[in-house]
Amino acid sequence: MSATRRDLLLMTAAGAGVGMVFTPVPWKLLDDVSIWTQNWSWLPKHPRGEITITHTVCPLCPAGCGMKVRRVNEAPFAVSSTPGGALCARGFAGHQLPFHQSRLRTALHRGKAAPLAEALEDAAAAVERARRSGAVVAVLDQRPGRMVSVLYRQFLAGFPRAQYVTLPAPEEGTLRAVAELTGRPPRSLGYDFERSRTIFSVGAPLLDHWGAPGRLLRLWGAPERKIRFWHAASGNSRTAALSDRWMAIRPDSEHALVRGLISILIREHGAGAGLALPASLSAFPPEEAAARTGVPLAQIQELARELATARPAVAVGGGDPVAGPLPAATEQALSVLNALLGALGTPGGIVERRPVPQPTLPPGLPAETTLARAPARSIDVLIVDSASSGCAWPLELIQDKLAPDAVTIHLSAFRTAWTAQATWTLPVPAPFEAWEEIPETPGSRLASWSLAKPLFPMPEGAISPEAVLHRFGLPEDQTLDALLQAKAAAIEKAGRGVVRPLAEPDESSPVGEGLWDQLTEGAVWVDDPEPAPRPLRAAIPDLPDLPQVASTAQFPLLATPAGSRGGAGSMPSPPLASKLTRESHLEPAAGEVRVHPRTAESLGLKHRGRAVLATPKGETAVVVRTDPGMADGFVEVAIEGDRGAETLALFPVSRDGAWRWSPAQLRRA
Amino acid sequence: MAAQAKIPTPPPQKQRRYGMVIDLDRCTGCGACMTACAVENNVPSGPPEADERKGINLMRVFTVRERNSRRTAFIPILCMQCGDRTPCETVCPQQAVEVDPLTGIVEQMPQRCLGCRYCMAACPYQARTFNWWDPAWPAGMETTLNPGVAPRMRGVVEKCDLCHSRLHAAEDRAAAEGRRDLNPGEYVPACVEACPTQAIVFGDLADKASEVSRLAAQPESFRWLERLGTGPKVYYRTRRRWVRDLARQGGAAPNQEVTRG
Amino acid sequence: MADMAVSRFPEPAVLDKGWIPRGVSRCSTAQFLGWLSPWVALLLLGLYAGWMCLRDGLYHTNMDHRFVFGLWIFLDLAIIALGAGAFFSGFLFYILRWHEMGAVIRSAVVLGFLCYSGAVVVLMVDVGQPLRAWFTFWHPNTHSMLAEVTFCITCYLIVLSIEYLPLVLKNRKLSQIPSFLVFEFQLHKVMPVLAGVGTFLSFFHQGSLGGLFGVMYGRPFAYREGFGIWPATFFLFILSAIAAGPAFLMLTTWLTEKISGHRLVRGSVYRLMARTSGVLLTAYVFFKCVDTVIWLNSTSQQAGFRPWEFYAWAPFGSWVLFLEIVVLGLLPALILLRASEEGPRRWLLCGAALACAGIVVNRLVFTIQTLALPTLPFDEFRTYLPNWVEVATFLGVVAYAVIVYSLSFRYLTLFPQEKELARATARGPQQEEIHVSGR
Repeated sequence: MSATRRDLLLMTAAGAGVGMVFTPVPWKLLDDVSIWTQNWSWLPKHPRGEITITHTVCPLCPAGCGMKVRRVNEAPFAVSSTPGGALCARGFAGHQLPFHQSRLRTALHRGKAAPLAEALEDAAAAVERARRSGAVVAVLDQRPGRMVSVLYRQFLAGFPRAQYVTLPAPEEGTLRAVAELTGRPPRSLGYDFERSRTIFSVGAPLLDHWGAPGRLLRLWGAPERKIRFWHAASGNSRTAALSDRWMAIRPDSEHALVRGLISILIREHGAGAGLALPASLSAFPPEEAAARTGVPLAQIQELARELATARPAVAVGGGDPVAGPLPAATEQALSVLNALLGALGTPGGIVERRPVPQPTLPPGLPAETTLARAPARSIDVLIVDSASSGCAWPLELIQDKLAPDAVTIHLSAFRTAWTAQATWTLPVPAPFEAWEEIPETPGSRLASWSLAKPLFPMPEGAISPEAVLHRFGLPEDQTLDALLQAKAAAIEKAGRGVVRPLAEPDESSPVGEGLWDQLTEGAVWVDDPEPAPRPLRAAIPDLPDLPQVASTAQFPLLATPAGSRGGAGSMPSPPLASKLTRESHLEPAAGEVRVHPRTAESLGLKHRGRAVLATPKGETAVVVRTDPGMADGFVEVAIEGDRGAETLALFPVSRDGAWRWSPAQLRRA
Repeated sequence: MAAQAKIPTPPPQKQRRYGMVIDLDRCTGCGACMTACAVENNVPSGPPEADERKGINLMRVFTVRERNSRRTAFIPILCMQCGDRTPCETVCPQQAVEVDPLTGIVEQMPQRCLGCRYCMAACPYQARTFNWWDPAWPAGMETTLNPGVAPRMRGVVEKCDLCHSRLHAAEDRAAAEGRRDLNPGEYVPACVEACPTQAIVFGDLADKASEVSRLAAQPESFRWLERLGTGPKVYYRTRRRWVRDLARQGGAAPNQEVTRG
Repeated sequence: MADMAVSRFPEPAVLDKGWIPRGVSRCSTAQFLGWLSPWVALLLLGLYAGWMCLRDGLYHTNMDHRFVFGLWIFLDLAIIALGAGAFFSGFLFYILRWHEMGAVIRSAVVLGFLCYSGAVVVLMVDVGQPLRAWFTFWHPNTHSMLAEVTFCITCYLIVLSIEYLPLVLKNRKLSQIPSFLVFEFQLHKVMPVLAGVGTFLSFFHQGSLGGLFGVMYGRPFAYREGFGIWPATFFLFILSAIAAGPAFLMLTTWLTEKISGHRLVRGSVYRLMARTSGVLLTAYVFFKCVDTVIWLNSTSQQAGFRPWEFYAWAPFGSWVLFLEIVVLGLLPALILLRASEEGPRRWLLCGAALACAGIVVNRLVFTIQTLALPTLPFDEFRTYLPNWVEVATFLGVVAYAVIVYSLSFRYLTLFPQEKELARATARGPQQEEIHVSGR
């Protein structure tokens, strides 16, 4: 067999092909392919650098929990609780909030991007016009009690007609009613849970979104716990699941339940023996409470017996970050219940919280009004502070107070449902980008004070609320820094309380020189407990009856808003917290409603099916989730995420500022 | 290289079996463990359409309701670190799953994963998740990523590895102090650290003196699907009978009283 | 294909006459292109859907963490089982020397190649990182059934390609190139060896595909005990595949006859395939019953699952088991056995269709029902429906198979008896009748 040139060529080609396998070329190529699949240019590179640890407090809500922050190249990458503390799920992801997709990089004029300088100038002109014309200028503060609140009041003092309006913490609803009953100033009372034996919550999510999350969870999870938790609410919340006893009452029957308890306590347990009681209190028939709540009378009597015997006992109302406060009449009834339980000014009950020593303030600062009490259509220029309470407030509450053609100026780091309504939105630093002051936690019995450190530099194009006030006419010599330093000095001078370093809370030291430095390095000032609480005297008023919300033929169901702290409101949720609500069913997920499987079946709705939720105020598209833990005929509507405010607007706000219930209709989409 | 040759080989480390005991009576379903886990492991928040079916959760807390009594339990599920017969390890066609003989941790190597998802089908706990999307963070948020953990690419499977990077960091610290073995509590996963009620006790099950071994041996402790014989190293405990009764069943039939909320 | 018009209309222009095998008639080029065009459109849609998944990720599909295997894996398993006709007829023809199988062996090879290559294409879209597919060869886990499947399927696909090649080279035009003819001749000599290798590989991966599910001891619904390292499903998948293979071959041959309008194989071949399929299916049904009884009463109970617990969830009630074993197992087995002796052809085809459907249902049960059932006692039952991306991708593969098979039928000699039968038909129907019954 002779080889032709053709064969030779073929041999060469085949040989090259086979030989190639034995060279590094194909293997290198494969290797590079595999490396490439791991290093796509669109995969973010994680940072490298020195790792440091910072201790500070969380600025996301008024709870101000301690945080241990791990940072790389100064950027925080993970947080954890400080010893003895307990961060909530939101807190663990909070440091990513400044990069939220809705972060504002520019000012807004009626929802449209506008240069900051221009927006600032126009807004300042509007404020100046109001000053000259004597129009009402107001500041809305969701976290009263801070030094920046004082700065706002100093600013308002420069106007002929001004209002300082607050949205007080919902946790303190019962405390406010007790303060009124006993003639104490607002924010001067707290709960002494640590010494309680029975804690009775009426719709208050004590074990999930209430006050500082760690406080009650620590009590609840204590080994050999003595405290018993009773919970009365319609919704199968986590608090309902974790309480020792959960009374699944009918929607909006809290008032009847409290009235029934008061009646039984007086009739059967001789409560309020030393007090002058209006006869109507014991005249309320307990059977009616049983009928209206749908709870057997024996169970209400058992609760009354436990409240009467397992003392100290305290009743807590409201405080839901989404469903809002209980009606004022119910809170008043709760304050009377507490008085009958002997919980006013006694250990384990509701006690006085000494105010934080304050610097001397100039006279003539406008007094605090709650938004619910501000006159309707009275505000011409409204400035809304950026700090969030973590609660979802119906925007209707604010809109009702605005005069026609009112100007609203929102200080906000994010584009939200609130800023969509604003005339101007000025981009302020996000949480973790500026110092934030944390006064005492809502509901706490001890005054405290701490400062949240910035973990990121303030970005270009943002302006601090203080700088905005100076631009709006606040004298330049009145600064936040001076006020904060003065407050530190006042505390030092009073010599009260201890300083707890966040890194080692056990190594607290009495207040002395250098409080300011200690606070800025990462410490909390906590007031000394009073040796013995002073009894609070109350004159027991007659209680009005409160009609219950009723379903109608057109709206046969009863709906309530449900959600988590920080899930909707004037600030978005950290992205990973939104992920949590979206991907687990621990919290109501955005756009969802939860109903009992029977309710769903009777309406022809399927689990995960689409539906339309309608109330007398409008309708919205929702996804149905069935949950055997729900009460039949009852809809829990998630107030969460971008559409949260829009969904909350479906709930009518009652005259005393409550929006817990609405008759509703659910139909297949 | 030359410098490395001079370092004497350290004596072999003690063999460990890392595991945990989760007290279901202390779990409040707050989700702090899930968020802390996602932050620690650089899990992206995912697009808005990611839900429980497609979102990445290395740890998931189930809400379990008993229908008639309306009782609720919260049950955190993560990789059970099966130790006897690891279902995912044997099925992976290209050895992307490996049980570390020194620590007992079931490791997933995303760089080697093909994304065939056979391991997910084989896992009885559904503790494995697949990256349906490219990992993405809003602009600037990548600066807040954990430097110890590489983000995973799209198309691979991932799962809990008991915060392996924390183990490495703890071992490095111990080595710097000239120690060979870790002290108890020196290495804890992020979820254990995050739990506000300290419901999770973590430690070395091989160490009979450890708290985790003591708790795991108690009669209230159990493991899910024990009869499959996979030898999970995650134990649960509860005083509630109805929850323990759940564990005695294999699966759940629809006529039973338990449903997921 | 698409030669239906041939006998009814005057001869239209066949522009590609030079490529068409001698002695057979094919439809006009225009008709053929008309037949192809909807399939090309479907192929393009499938390519687009597959490309979306490769470009952006698998979130385009409706699969999720629970349904990690969806339509694609289910149908891959089904078409690989149906494609088993290729290796099994090769085995019968080359190894057992059943010469009658020569009538369909070429078509079987093409179908096998299409089923396997189509399945591999879909798999490459289905895995998250197709560029790392070769890792299985680089870091194989010898304990994994999937590694075994990957090895066998890859090798067998190569074997099938080599078996397909001589058919292509025998094309009227291509065979004019002398070196092609020589190469084809050389290939022909190794064909029995390849058939042997193919049979071995196929037996293994058909079994391993069953093993995939049978070894999942974390999934008591799928887990089966077995012999040595092989669970019972290993053997059941082999048996069911070789039972369904000839049945599928009958169906495709009949469909090709219907669509083309030509007789392609003698009736005796149909009967032979039917008998083979019927016997194997009977054996399969028997062993499947034994397996089911052991699994329900022992295997699953040892894992803590009560018998029938798996069938308590709608829509997967115990009717699925009845459907699989009786309606689509025992019934077609009896039909095939009876009709292979005597009876009209439509009964043969009906039995074949039922047998194929049974295999498809079996694969559906193992992929989808296994995943739908919860294992954790508090987990929920889930349902899954594929979305358009998954359906389109798969239809793209079907279109690919139809197009390649149509081209093969038009230009290659897939059915050696076609020429002879065409002559017989021209002579008159009576003689053909004698021919058929003259076995």
